[in-house]
Amino acid sequence: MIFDIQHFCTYDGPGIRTVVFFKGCPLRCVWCCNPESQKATPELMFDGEKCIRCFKCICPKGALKHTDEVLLDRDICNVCGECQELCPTNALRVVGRLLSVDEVMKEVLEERVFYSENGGVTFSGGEPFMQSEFLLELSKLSKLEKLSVVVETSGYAKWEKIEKTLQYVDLIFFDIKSCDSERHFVLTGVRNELILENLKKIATECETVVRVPVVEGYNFKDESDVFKLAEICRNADVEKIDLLRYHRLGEKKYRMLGRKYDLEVGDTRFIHYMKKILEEEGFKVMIGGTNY
Amino acid sequence: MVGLSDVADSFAAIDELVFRKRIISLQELLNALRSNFEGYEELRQILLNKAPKYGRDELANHYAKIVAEIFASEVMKYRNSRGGRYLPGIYSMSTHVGFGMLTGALPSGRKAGEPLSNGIAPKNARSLTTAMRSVASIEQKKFMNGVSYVVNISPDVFRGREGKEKFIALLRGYFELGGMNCHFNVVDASKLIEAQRNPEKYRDLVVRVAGFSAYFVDLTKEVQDEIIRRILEKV
Repeated sequence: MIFDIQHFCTYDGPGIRTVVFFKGCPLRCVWCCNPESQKATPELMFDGEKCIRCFKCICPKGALKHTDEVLLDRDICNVCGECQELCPTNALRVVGRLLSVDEVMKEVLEERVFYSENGGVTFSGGEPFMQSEFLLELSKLSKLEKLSVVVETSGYAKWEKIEKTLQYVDLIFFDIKSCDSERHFVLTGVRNELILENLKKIATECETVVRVPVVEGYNFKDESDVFKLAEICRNADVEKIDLLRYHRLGEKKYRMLGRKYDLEVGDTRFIHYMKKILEEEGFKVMIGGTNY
Repeated sequence: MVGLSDVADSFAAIDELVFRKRIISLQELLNALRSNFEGYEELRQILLNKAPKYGRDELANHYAKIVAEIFASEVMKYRNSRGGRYLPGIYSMSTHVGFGMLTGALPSGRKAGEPLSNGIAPKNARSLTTAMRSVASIEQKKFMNGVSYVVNISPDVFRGREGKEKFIALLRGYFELGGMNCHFNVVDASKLIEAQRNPEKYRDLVVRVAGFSAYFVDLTKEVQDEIIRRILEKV
């Protein structure tokens, strides 16, 4: 289950890359900027700004009502996708497609001429390890084609699901959402013990960069959190840390999925202070995750 | 030749929506074009969103190739009064804006008066690399008068040594596929909008228009807007 494939990505690993976004994630981070990546099944997105109120969208189940605007009843909608065919503006759009390994590889290899020596494919999500067999096959084939393989993970998966794929992976972007397990649970829906355990194991087998979304006042509150992060990374022998700036670009997508987004983040200068501390602790730190 | 992408997208729209899927009738399309889509917004949206596009879909790329080849072989048939050949080229300088003002609505969904496509560039590409693949799939060596492919790219891409390596990989790929020419505008849209507002501060800002460069502030408002629009659309 894939929700997007994007070409010419330059921020998700070395070189020019194609990013394959897996749909389905075990975490529910309150700041998630890709809410459509969370559920492991297709979903209908409705963009009210694109809608021209032509009312051509007819639902065989009756989930669409027309007043002076289009109303979608998600309890009735079974995501059959018929309305998206009828919608002239693509305001109604189903995200999530079941693709075969061959179909994904075909799209990835179409761009091969641009990958050069160090570019290739990045498997992102959602959580790629949630579809571990699919990921294993794709990674294996990509390696056979001599592409660079990068995986972005939340680290929340059983070790058996991760282990077998690592031999085909060149670089892992490993997210740490919070250093405090209790707070991790409140902000993402799961605790972080399994994640931290996996970080150590992964980092011994594969080049690993830790990525940290910085949502000030939520997952990082003060210096002590930053020192905890440094300790975790040091224990796992990770040298590189990417700090990702918080942004609200995903806000509209929540509306399009009929969900609410309520997160107010005031100050976003803390990230620079974090960078300074972590550099003093001996790490290579980047803000924004560019250029490896 | 000016407007390759418009013609390719228009043929692809007719092929797909009128003949293959039969969603639109030819008569309905003609009526919509004659009235410049007045009262036909829904139809226009279908043309914009449900039809294949050059730089994105195979069918439209195919039409771009056919159109380019027919044009090239036709031009080559003619001789001037001294027996010399006319040589085909695909570049528009800034005429795609001027000619666009004189061109009616098109089945691509483009309204009357809007700019035509710039040189050989697609108007609705999926990404820069898919655009380059489509552009390079046109047999550029048939155009001995040259082609012009303007790429708008954010300065971010060039940051650091790794950024420059990415740029090299991009260029290598394009020329390996058979591309003959491309030129770059490396600039943020916000800077150009700022330059429109305060031209006196940006006297030395040079941009690539189409086969030539110019001082941004010397261009007409229409050409300036077109460049900004293309940068915002990242193509």
